[in-house]
Amino acid sequence: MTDTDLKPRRGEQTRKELMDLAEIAILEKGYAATSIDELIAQAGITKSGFFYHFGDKLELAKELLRRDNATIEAGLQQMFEVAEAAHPDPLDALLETMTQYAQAASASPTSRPGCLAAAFSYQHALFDEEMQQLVLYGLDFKRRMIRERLERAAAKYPPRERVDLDALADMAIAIVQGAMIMDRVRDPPPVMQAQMDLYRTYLRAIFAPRAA
Amino acid sequence: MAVKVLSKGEATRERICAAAERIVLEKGFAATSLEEIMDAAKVTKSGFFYHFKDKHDLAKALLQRYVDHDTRIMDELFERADALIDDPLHSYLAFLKMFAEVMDDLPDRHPGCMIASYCYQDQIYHREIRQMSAEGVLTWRKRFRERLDAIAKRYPPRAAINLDALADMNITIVEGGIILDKGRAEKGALPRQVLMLRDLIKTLFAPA
Repeated sequence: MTDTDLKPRRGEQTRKELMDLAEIAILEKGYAATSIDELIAQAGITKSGFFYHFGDKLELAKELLRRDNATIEAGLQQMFEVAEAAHPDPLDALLETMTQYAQAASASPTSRPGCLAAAFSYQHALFDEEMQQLVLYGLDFKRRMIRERLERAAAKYPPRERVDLDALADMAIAIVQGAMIMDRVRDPPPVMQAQMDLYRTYLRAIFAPRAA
Repeated sequence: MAVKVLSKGEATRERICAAAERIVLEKGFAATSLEEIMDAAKVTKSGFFYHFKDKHDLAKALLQRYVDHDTRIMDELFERADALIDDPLHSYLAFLKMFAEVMDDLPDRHPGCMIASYCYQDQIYHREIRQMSAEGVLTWRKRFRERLDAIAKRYPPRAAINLDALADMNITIVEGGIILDKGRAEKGALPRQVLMLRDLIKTLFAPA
């Protein structure tokens, strides 16, 4: 291998390392308390090395949320596909995916579970419109993906009363976000899965009332 | 609602807390300077330090104030619901409806929860802050749980339900609803989620 083969790869690796370190720091203590100096010290690079990869801290934060959105979107898609392959019934597949979703949300590289979008939302005045759009994008794809499955469940099991499927899809997101906050604040055991179980019981009652 | 007349000192303290809470919920505690809080509250440095020893002292005061305030709103709404309705389930449903209305009537979207704000920042490393936060959510859980017990006694739930989890869900949905509200362009996500919770409780308890 020549130098030119190695360089871009090492650069990419440094970039990823900086992002991983920043993600952990921001999830642990927030954006404002995370400094470029501590990140370069941990990564063992110079300040100019940092600025080679990111224009500033704000750009790094946006890149983190872009990456997070892409990871969660692909992860959720895969969870749905695996569950749908295993469960021909659309409601069963949805219920199974919701368990997986809650479990994935609880897994964290940090000491407590957390969500970058939520962390940024609680410091929104430090950011710009583009960041707001990235947060919104994250809420939108989750709603869209869950709603699509709720529609399939509703087609097979027509609910007795009219249900706002957007709000019902959002409820899964709200529960995951809220449970993460609870689990950051409270000592173990985590509340996440029990919160999601209630949502699943609710879905069963709405769509397959006799089976509930 | 009873309006308490504040002394001049109490009024200043309250003004500082209100200004600080607004700023902290917008940009976080670490990014908020004491100078800008003093500016916003229109108090001098000595005025500020008469009321608070340091920034950490203020952090604790803001958290306690938030928990007390939320608990008071909750108690008042439950009292109103109880005055109107004897049945524990229907009183709870009325409470949630009124709570959603209060959220919907806010001039702007919900400014945020101090517990959630701190938990996403380095305040979470302070033992006292963490303890106060945990106690806050446990106080709320206990209040909901007592009422859910009374409901479950009269209306056996249609499925096996973890009542602690259902009590927690009142907090979870509000915290998560605030995150949705903050992220969405249009306001209204939070009250809508509170009404979803209301429907969940109605569905789980009301006889089919």
